[in-house]
Amino acid sequence: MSTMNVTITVNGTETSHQVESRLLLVHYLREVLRLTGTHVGCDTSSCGACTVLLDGQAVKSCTVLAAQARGCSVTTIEGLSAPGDPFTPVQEGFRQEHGLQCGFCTPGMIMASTALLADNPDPGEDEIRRSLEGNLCRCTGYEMIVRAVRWAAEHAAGLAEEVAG
Amino acid sequence: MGSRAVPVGGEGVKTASTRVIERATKIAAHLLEADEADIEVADGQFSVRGTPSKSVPWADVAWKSFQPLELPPDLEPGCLDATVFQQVPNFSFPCGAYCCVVEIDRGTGGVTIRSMHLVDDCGTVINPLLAEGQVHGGVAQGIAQALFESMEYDEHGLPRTATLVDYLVPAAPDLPSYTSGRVVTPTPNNTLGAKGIGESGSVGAPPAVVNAVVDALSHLGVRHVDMPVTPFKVWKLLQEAR
Repeated sequence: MSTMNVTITVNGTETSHQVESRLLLVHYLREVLRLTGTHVGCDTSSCGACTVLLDGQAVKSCTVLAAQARGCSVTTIEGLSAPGDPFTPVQEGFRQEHGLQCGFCTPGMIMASTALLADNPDPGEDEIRRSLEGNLCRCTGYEMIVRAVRWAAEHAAGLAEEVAG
Repeated sequence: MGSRAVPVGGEGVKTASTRVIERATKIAAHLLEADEADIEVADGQFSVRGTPSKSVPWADVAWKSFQPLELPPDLEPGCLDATVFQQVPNFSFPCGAYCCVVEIDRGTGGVTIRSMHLVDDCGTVINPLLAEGQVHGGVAQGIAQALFESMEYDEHGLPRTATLVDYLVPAAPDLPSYTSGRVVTPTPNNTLGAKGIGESGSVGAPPAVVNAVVDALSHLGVRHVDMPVTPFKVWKLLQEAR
């Protein structure tokens, strides 16, 4: 079994572990670091439940090797806001607009939406739908997810001020 | 029985909650030295009608419920606990009407939903936001059944659509935005008046979508299309009509 040392900054903290070379990033996050907020839905990069930010870009972490993320910065759902801290606008938007039913796809949806808004702070409905094409949801019909992202776009500044103030 | 979380489970929650409130009211009356009939329960506390300054919060009532010396004589410690076994007497019958407008691409046979209007009657609505979410989710599955999803097998009986790579679950761009409305006719079959809502969308959407497609093709003599209405099926119907 070939192993290697990987050093990845996860949610702002540098982590370093000796892992199997073939280890996927999502398994590094879930099984090595025990950050189980990132979900595995399909293992075939179809569903997007495992979406995380890799140096700020949304990636499906079931299709990235841990080794490929060496030296990179990864943000997972756990890294958006600490327990007890205010939610990010996207997290709050999903709560306000009920952008979920069972919640399994939600971590991936929130990470993909976070990346979208970083790129495009004021997306229209079509842009939101196209940007979330890689993230499947079985229970909402997407309507309220779209509303959640719009909520985040409309409240981004206000929430940031509240957090800062 | 159909969708029954609220008609059956909700009824149990209501019955059990009512029992807990009745006993908590007795404790509060005892603590406030007031008559049980004069106790009002609102905003997280029990107060004496007409004397709002005399009140006790739920947390205190719950704490006292474990202390035998603080309880009225007819209540046991730990009495804010209720277990309910029940059957509801009959089914609930939610109903509704869905309307769908589709556009068909003559070149590819692809069907796009232009608008989708949903009106449901699930009786008493407990939480409007959750009820709307349930409808949306059901409609999405109904549209998926009408247009996209199908388990396909080859001639040896092996599944050809065994993963999400082959089995088409719609993503956000594949589905429309919905407008929804509500009619409220409480059911007499439970005291909440609530009817099921979880499956309304998946029952109403397939006929709405498929009938819209058939209507769009009716001038070509089309009276039926099997689900899922794939672009290939529509394209063939268009070719045959030429």
